[in-house]
Amino acid sequence: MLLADIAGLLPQWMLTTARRGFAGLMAGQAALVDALTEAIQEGRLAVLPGQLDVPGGNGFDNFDALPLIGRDRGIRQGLLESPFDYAARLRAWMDEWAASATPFEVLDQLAAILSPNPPVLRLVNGSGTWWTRSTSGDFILQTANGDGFLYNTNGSLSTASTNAHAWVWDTLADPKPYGFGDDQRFWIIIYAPCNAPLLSGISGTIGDGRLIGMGKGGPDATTIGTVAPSIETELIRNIVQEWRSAGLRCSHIIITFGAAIDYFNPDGSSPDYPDGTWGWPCKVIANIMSPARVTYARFWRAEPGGVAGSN
Amino acid sequence: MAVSIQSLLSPLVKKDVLADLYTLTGLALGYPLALQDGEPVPAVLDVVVGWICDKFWNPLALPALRAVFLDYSAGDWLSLVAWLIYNRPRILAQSATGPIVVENHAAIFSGTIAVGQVRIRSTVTGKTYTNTTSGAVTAYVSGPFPVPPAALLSYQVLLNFEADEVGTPSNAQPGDISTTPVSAPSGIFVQTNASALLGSDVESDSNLILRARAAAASRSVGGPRKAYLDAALDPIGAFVSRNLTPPTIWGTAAPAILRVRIQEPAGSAPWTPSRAYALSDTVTNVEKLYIVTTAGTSAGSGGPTGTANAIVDGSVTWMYVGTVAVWLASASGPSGGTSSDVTSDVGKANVAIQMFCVPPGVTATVAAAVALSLDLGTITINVTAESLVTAEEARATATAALDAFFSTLPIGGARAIANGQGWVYANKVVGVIEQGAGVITANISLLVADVAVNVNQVVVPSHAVPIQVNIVSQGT
Repeated sequence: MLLADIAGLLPQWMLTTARRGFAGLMAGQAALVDALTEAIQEGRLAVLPGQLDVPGGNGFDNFDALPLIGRDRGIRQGLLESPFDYAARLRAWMDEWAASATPFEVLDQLAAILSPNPPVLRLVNGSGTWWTRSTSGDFILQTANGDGFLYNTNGSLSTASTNAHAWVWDTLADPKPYGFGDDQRFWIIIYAPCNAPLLSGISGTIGDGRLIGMGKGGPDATTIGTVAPSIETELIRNIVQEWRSAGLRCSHIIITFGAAIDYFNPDGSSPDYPDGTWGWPCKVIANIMSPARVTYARFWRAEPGGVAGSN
Repeated sequence: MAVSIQSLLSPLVKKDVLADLYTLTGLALGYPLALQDGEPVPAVLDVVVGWICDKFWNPLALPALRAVFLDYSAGDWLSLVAWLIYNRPRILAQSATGPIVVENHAAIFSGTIAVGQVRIRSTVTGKTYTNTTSGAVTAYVSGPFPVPPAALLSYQVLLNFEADEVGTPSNAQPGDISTTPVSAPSGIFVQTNASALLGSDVESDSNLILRARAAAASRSVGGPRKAYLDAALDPIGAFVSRNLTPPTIWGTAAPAILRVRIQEPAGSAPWTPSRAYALSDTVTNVEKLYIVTTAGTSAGSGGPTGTANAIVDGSVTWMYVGTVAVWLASASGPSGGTSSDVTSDVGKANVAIQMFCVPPGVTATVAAAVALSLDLGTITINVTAESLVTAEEARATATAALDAFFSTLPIGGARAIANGQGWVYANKVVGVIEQGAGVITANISLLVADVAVNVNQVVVPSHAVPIQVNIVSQGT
């Protein structure tokens, strides 16, 4: 930088006390040139989302330009996602958007915003086709007729010939719920816990008498059912809405707890699957209102704000 | 030195720069720079810093740095960024164009009318237009002057005219063009225009940013929502960005589509039995969207099914509108035309959406938004006399504020709740008027409560003219 070297660059007579005004003048010019040079350099670096790969390296030192770049590129940042990972995704934005509206990309975006420890994620549609993203990013497609595949991030590819279990959501629900019987719906399954203290546990059960704001819900106490704060539920919902195909609908986002048991495994080995009565949270059994759905999971309506006439 | 992005993108303030300069200089020299006002050095630094701030950094360098962040980008820099990074060139203003019948009324002239030889004007706006094509006419002897679609005679010729000024101010509605040219060969007259002569304005910064941000999604073949938005806002660009030749019958004028509403089963209200439905109410039933074409009360069970145009449900009649419904509006109201007219604005958007966005298995319907006329009644503004704002200035400001508000109000109104009812919020409208300089209060006589807006409706306001302005001294 010019200013740091100014004493060595000026003639000696300027550095005498009697003529220090000259030195001040020259130093002032040098400081201006330095500041402008740095600002231009920083400004150019700030728009390039690679500056954070080497912390303290040769780039823009702050993280605060990343959200601006993210807005322009349509990439949301996870609540706990590191700026380094976020910068990497911002660089891949064109390819990610080119793959948007595919199950792969919907799950990949969810994994990104649930980093640094994304859980197993699944997407299943009304036809019983399952897509699974493992914690390490492996991707499995399992279909009803067994012609799926498994792609590992190490590059290996193999068939997934197990016949996937059917997904029968609401064919027996009474009364018929919103979206009854439609095969174009899909569901997202998130295998909690992940990233404590966020989506890490169940909070509240039906009939426990508590209300929102009475210690129920996540850190901001604005949700019910899980400890996820509202900012996280809306983030997850927004990802699903933005990255799916227009015209197709995500019915529910299912948060399942209990890692020891492989709930909702597409291979049919799990203890419970939707039995056609899950269109409503409750059903009548022997004249008693009983939970229709499993109690180890929570079910979010996928649309921001929810949908009237459904649950 | 770590700099925050906000600091980096903010204008330099001269006195702050000078203060920093003295501090830095002192540090560099190893002694404080104790200079007095009136000394040559501070005077020189003051001048130099002024140049740097006012002549270099703030007007030239800073806009270049801000340009690549769309939230901060504007003007020519935004045009460059949108074009070169997002492949979305700004839609330029286009001159109003259209065909006009030129005819020879006298035996004085015969021969070819050259390009630029006939200049005509609108009797409404006074804007002028010049012929951009040439054609030959014979001398007139006698006979009628047929009006298209009747066949023209030899002393008539159909020429294309283009407005001398670009943009929508030169638009001419049918019948606006004077039959007497401003200038032309002797004996040459024109028929008034049978169809509108329409141009388009240069695209606004906010619209360009919207399209730039949606550009990446249009690369997907799976049809995410943003792809629909991108195609609807610039159907011509949807072809150009894919290296395809836009339909030549579209011409080059951008469609008047500035507002897009995309409605899907996701986020739509489910059908409800035994409920009163008004015209244009929209519901979803088993993943299909339906819109009311005849108001009434729905049946006790079932609801609309199938894909027909007229589905009777109790006393309601529904029309199927697909699995994705796209409604379009211009700045002033519904966009023109229908999806079945491929030369209309709506038709253009429909072609681009169906070609580039809609995947198999999805049915998309593209239509003009439905106008919701909103009579605001009498608008009264109270302005402080001390502000020195004149009544005329207050009126102009209020009119501009209202135009800006309603021209960008989303189709379906503004929402406070996701997927909820859309509204024109009465206090918001009053608020935009009260933002005017010197305005104390504003009153809108007929807007006493929030107005509900259906999902496919675009608000078209009107009010008594002129706006009433009271200049009130505050006694200060």
